[in-house]
Amino acid sequence: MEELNMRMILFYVFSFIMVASALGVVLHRNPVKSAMFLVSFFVGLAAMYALLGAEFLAVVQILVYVGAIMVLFLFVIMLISVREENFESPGSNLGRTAATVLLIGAFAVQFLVMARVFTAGPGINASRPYHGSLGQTGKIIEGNVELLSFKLFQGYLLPFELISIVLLVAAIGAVVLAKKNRRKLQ
Amino acid sequence: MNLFSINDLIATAPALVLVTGAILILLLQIVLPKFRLQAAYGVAIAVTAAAILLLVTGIPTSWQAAGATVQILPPIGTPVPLTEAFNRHVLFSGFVSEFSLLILIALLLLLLNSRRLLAELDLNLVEAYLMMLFSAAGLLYFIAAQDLITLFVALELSSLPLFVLAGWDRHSKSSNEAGIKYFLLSVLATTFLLLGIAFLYGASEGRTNLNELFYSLSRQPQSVRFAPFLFGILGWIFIYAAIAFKTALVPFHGWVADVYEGSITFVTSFMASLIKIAAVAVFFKLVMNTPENHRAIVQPVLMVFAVGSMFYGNLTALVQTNLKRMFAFSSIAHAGYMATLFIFPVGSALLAEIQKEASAALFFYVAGYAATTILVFTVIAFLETGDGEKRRITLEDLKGLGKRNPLAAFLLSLGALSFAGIPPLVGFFGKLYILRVLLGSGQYILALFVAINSLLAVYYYARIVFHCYWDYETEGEKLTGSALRSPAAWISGMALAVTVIGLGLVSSPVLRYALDAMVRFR
Amino acid sequence: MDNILLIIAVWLPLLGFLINGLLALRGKPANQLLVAVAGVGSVAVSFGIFVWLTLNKQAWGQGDAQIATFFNWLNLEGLQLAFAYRFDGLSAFMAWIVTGIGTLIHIYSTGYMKEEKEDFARFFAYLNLFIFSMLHLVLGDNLALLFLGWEGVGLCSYLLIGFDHHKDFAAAAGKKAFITNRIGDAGFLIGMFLLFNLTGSLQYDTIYLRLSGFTDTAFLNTVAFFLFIGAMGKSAQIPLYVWLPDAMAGPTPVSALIHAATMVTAGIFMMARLAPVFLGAPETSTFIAFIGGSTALFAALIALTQTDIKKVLAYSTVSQLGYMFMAMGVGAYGAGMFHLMTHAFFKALLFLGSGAVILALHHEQDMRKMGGLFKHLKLLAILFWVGAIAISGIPGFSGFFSKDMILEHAYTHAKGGKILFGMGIVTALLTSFYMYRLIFLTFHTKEDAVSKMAHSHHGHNHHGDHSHHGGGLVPLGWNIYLPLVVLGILSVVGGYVGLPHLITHETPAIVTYFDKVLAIPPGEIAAGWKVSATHAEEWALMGGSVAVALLGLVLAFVIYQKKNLLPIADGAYRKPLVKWSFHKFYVDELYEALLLNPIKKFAFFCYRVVDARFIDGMVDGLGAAATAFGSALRRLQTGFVGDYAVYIVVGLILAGFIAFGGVK
Repeated sequence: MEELNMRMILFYVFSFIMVASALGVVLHRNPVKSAMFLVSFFVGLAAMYALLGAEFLAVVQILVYVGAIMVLFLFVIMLISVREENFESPGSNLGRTAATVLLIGAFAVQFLVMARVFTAGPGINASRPYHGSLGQTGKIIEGNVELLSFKLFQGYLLPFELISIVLLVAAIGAVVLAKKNRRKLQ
Repeated sequence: MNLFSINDLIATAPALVLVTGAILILLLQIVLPKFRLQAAYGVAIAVTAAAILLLVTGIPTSWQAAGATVQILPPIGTPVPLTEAFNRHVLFSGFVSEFSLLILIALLLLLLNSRRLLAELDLNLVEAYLMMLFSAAGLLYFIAAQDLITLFVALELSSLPLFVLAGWDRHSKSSNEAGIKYFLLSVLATTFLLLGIAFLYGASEGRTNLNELFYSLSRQPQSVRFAPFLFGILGWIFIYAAIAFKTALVPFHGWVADVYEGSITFVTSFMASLIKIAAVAVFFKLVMNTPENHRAIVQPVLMVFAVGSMFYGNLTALVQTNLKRMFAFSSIAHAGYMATLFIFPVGSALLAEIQKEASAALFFYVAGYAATTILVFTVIAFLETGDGEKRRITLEDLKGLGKRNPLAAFLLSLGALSFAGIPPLVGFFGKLYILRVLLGSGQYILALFVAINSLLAVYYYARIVFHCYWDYETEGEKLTGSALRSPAAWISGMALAVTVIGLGLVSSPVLRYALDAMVRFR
Repeated sequence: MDNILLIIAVWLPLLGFLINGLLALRGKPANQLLVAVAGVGSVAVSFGIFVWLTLNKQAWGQGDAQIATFFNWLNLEGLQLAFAYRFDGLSAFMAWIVTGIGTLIHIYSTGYMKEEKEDFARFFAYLNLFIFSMLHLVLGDNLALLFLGWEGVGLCSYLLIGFDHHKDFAAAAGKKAFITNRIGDAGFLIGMFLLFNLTGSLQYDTIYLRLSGFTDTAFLNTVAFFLFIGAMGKSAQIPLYVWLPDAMAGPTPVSALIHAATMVTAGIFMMARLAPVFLGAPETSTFIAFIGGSTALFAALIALTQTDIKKVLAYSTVSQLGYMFMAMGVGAYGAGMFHLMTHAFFKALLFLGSGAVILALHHEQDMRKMGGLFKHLKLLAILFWVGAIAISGIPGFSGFFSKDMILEHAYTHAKGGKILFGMGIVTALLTSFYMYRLIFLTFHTKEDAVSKMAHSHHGHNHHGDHSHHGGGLVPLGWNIYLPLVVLGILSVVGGYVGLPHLITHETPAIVTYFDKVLAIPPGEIAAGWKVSATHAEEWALMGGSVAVALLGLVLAFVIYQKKNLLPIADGAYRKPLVKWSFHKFYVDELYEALLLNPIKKFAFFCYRVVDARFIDGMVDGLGAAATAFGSALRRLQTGFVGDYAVYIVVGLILAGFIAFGGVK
């Protein structure tokens, strides 16, 4: 069993926050409050990134998700003025029983896996120290942002470019589906 | 890690051509506002044909290997040299090239029908072509992906347009429902994919490249004492689940019937053919990249997927009266047949040989399956719109179709008979080759299941033929709909019919070609 | 060169099919001349090529088959199949009959189907497709091609039976044919697999080679039995004969071509092709002979009282096929093939003749409403007489020679030969009686159908689209008469290739031919199979068969011509035996009661949506169970996204348990 250091404690704290907020998002009947739970979830995620040493990602996470996307969500919620009573309690009877069973099942699996992990030897919990990496020029890259840019524009160029097409598709698709009068579009 | 060069672009040229075509269509809307529909149709067909040509000439795959001198049109059967691009994020092999070619041909045949079919429903928008091209490009990257990150992004690129296409008919409730259902469940599947990738990343000390993963994981001891091994298994299960969702295997099949039925039939045939081709190809590739120590553990899961799909699909199809739903369930069953090819005996000395045979059989089966599917759904689409308004075709409606609309009845029966596996149609040989691989590798139980299910399936396919030709006692509501109402659709329909018959007749050379072209692709 | 010609000859009818098929698909009446040229031409040219190939061929022995490989179909380890055609003595013989009679019937059809403007091209497309399939059946060089043709002719048969979609009856008949033939096919497939299992090949030469010297009679008996079940279905033997009489719902040329002259003889051909199998299976062969004899007798009994002219001929066909199986069963392959040929001639003649009568009388098929046609249709009547004399076995005409040969072989069969002969001779009497009954009722008797019709047709208008209405006969063109005349001549002279050895004192030419072609070792069969007969006995046999033929003629003459008795109207009282015969011994009803009804009830009990009409008994039971299971599974398809997501997650958890169960 590993030593329970500060990092681990923080990890479990933020994990708990994240799981609780995720449940809040799904289960709360007031959409605005649901959205706020989502914000707390994102903050928790950002903290996770920071814990893993990805400070840049943590900051971007806050900026983009909490700052931009959540505001957009809230705008939409307010614009279409969803009220509490419009939201049915999530899930049918079958759904609710199934969810209960599932949660139990999921915990069982997790318990099983964790039990095996902790009884096993050196494994996944051993955190690997970060060593930095060699860039194209042979210079050792130490900075978080610099490393990220090298990764994105060299190692992961193809997925990066593909994502740009995905965004284009998303934009076009949204327009096509949302446009009221399609005859005019033609 | 190196900077990218022109080589990378040439290697992925077919997909790039499709993307370029799509963007060209976008631009042409502004330049030629009056003819934008015609332009979109023309460009879409042109770029698809160009991509096919590129693949057939073999330029993209032989460019790097041959330096600047490329042998154009290499003799049939020449193994495609392994070509990597974009820092080994994509890898082109004979396997990838063949399945890419299949996807592009299917796309071309669908595009030929598209204009008329979409126009019948008053849904002929420029964006439809964009979506199809983007989705197909995504599929090409999906098949070629050698890195799990690229695999994931390419899957998204191919799925996102489909969410839009599934809900294309905004005025139809069922189409909207189909779009939403497909979207929600796909997202769920995507999470599994990501989770699986994360697990594998963890289990292999930070790798996402399939090749590196293979070597890293294959060194692991097969024991519970070793945590990364357990996480590796979990990772594979999650990834398989996500791809099984796209392949429409039980228990990830829930969406299939509703989405196939709800979407406009043209889109259904897109999903049932192109997505299926890509999904089985990637599934096979992933299974190949699962090291044996992991595979031995995960394999029973695959077996459950395959057998469950066969039985579930066929049994449920038996009680369907709606034609599209029936074919939806039958597509689950066919996915099950193909999934039996993902199962190899553990510890066999002939593993490489078996896998090669299996890949060729898979190629043949899915080619025949795709041709038949497009044929059947095209006929259904034309029948649906025949009376000027969209309607659902039930078995009852087919009564006496052989008299009222001989061509449609003929094509539909041809498709049904091929699905049922009646010789000498292509469906028969597909099953024959699957059985051969299974028997050859000593998996008698699976072979038995395939055989039982083939017999079960004959029952409901035969009903279609019966209704078309022999059941005149009570004529259904008049359903006429002249088949294939445009020259392009006629060409596509005839090409498909010839394929369904011809692939059966020349199955042996095709299989041999497939075998020759399959080189090691792990 | 000859190989290419052979392939062309086989595929030419497909060209005709494609042309006519495309013309039919246009959906408007096609140019009849174009259709006729494509339809008749493709078959006629194909016939010409076969004639040429036959003339060119030097030797006809077992090893001299000309084999033309079109392309390799399957090339797998342990299973090679090619689209190869085999032109040898047997297949040349069949190819002549198929394309020769096929050409005549195509010509006839141009006249017969003239009025069916809408469906003219479709009809010829089907006919050509039939010839194409039939050529694969007889010329294919392996059992797979034979089976392909077997299914192909079946398909054409169903298509053509149901050609007239407007008749519910026709559709039902098509279905019946389909079901009965499926049972036969299942048997045939089993036989084929057993044979493949034994010899490791489907190619004939290899099969022959591996079979020579193989003496496991029990195994060969099994193989032969299953193969014969296939023949039972296709060639309409007890108990699977029920489809053939109903198949007469199709247009008359179809009845003549498919359901009398060619397709139904596929079972006989198959037995001749696989003669080594059947020769090695003496018990099954005797069984076959008895099935054949019973079928011959049974069908003849039914034919006695039928009133529909085509039904009489249909049961007569079943009966004559029974003769052929009797011949094959007693090992007299030459005699069987001989009768196949003569039967093809005279039965085609009779069917086409009956078609001409039906056409002339505005689609009247009931013999009770005919009579006195001799005055009006002299040539047709004479041709009909020729056909009847041939089938009834009066000396000098073809049927006499072939039937006599079969009876003689039956008599000398070692096991139960006398009984077989008894069945045969009674059948001969019955055959003669019902054929002359048909002739007298149709052409003679005093009543004049034409004037009678003139009365009845004033009142109602049951075929409204006839332009030449109001009584008179429909005129018959040259294209109706030409094939009839040719077939009439063949019905007379066709028998002279098999003059009995009593007269010539040597083995009949056709028997020598088939002994050579089929590689039947002369004499070897005789050892276990035959008992000898004295000359006196043989003369007695021949005399007996001539006597019964004449007796039938006299009886028919007395009853129908002299006493002028008409068959009783429907629903009137009949004596039990007559009633049984008229109702075809209630076999259809028996099958219905014993097989179909319980299954239907069971299916209904299991799940009420089961459609028991389509597939035969066993599959219906299974189908019901599967359907019930399927409908239970269907409940899972709720339509709720949430439920589907639940399935996915449950599936994943299960997958996890399955996988981790295997980790040590």
